[in-house]
Amino acid sequence: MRPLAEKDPLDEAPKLGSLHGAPTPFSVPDGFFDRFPHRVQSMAIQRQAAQRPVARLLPWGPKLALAAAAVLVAFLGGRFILSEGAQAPIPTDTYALESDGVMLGWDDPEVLAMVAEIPALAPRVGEGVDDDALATYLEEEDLPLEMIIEEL
Amino acid sequence: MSDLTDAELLALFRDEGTRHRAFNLLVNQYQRRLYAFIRRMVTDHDEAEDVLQNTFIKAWNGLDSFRGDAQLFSWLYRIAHNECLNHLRKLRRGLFVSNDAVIERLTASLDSSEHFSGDLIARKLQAAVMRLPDKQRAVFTMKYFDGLKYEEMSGITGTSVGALKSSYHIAVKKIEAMLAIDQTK
Repeated sequence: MRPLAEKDPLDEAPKLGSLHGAPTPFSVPDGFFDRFPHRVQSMAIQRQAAQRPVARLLPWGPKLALAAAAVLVAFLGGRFILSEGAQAPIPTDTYALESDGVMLGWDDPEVLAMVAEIPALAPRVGEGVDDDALATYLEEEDLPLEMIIEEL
Repeated sequence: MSDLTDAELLALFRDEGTRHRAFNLLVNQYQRRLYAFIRRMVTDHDEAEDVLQNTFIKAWNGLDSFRGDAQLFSWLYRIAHNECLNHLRKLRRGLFVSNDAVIERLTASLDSSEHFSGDLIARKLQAAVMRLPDKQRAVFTMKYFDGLKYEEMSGITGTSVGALKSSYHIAVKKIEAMLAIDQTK
């Protein structure tokens, strides 16, 4: 005896067997199959065109976002490390004199004029300083020995 | 014009200059067979047209990646099969009704359709087919109406040959029983 799956089930279904191979009862509107290929093709092209801008971004979008994020992190990280690890350079015209809340540099004419008014310093302003004059100045000022050595 | 082989169609499709002509030929070549299957599954012409359209649009989008390890017709048939099942699933979800109500609606469209030219027995047969569960209806339609081999059907549905044979046997018994009941009425 053949197993169930090997038998042709239509052998045991006479009504269904008698209808097997009958023409299809379904019909379509006139010219349907003539028009359909053109219609479906234009729809496919339209839909593809509508999806294209999104589809173009999709494969690259995540990669671009990741790359941009990596660059941003590297930039910010670098800035943080540099700001922590190194002091900002001190400008040559360091602000040393404060007058009425205005910071002035050593080479500022206003500062030089103010220094010139101090009697002890007046003769020295704008003059070249030789070693003897400097040693005399340091002795007069009674400065500590370490500082004198450093200055010399 | 005689039908082109799969390889010829695919070669034409992959050439940008002949792509549109190739797709036109492909639709011309397979539209009737696919329509017949889809129409058996959804009954109504307008719905069948929608499903057929979606089938070919998906084919257009996927043909570039078609590897050719199956026949082009089997590949198209597989898309159509999936589209039918999706369409019927959406129909149930959209109507918020039971399976029986959907079957009634689809069967009723046989009577109202101007594109159904069958006699009484053909109508009874289609009404009985509509009462099968979707997947079983697909199996029955492929075997009984379209004469596909179980191996082909297995490639299309992703179901084993044994399971398909069993499903078809059960479907035949159910339909025979339904036709017998109708005859006694």
